[in-house]
Amino acid sequence: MSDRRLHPRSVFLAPASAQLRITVDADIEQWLDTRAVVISSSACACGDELLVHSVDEGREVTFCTATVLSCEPIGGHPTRYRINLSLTPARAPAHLDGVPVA
Amino acid sequence: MTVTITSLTRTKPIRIFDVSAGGCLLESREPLPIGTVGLLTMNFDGRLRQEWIRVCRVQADESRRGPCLVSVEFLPLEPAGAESLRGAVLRLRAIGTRTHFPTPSGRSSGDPGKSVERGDAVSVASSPVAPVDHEDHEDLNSSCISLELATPLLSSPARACPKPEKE
Repeated sequence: MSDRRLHPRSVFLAPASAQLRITVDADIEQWLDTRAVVISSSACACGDELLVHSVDEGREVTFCTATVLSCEPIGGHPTRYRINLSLTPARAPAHLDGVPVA
Repeated sequence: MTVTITSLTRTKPIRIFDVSAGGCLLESREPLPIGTVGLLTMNFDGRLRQEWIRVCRVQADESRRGPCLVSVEFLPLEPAGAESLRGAVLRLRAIGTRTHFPTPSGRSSGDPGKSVERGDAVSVASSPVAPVDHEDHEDLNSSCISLELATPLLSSPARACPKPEKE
């Protein structure tokens, strides 16, 4: 990527509030109905609310919300984290890109 | 149900300082790894806009504490539609070009000490109002108003930085 700016920029009169949604892959270590333990490259704080998308063997994508119960680093490089999640039992279908089906 | 693949999605509150059709400069409470891809959502010009972004540069404190400045580039994964942030910036810029606004170029936002000089940029007002469905021409009209409001600020003497007098 060139360091040279290609487009003129516009400065906000005051910083504008926004939201950034970041999705990272995770390896499943344990998956129960309301609990899951996953391994991720991204750390989480206890109490963080996450959206968990999953694909089952039937290639069906679903999502549910989860709360981080604990997060601990695992040795190695790069550092990975074991995250203990509390899953909400309700599941809803989602598109392959993770967007919930309306 | 046997789950085979999973992904975790987090939503982070951020603040945006400047924006262009190619990317923006934002402030995050925690450093974001370079290369991180995410979906940016903000209220811009009276509408909720979204854009896929990728982190290019991170300017963080050495102690890694406190907020950090993050330069991101927009990922043109699809044409800039009505809800696209870069599309809105392009339309706003087009109006500015047609009226009386200069279209200067500068260096990247993530280049400390060289490019973060607001004199080379046009100020715009974000839209603190709730998102509403406007027709495009109404959007453009409100953009014009925003630009008009920005004009006095751009020429304000408060932005001038006089050199200190030698004793």
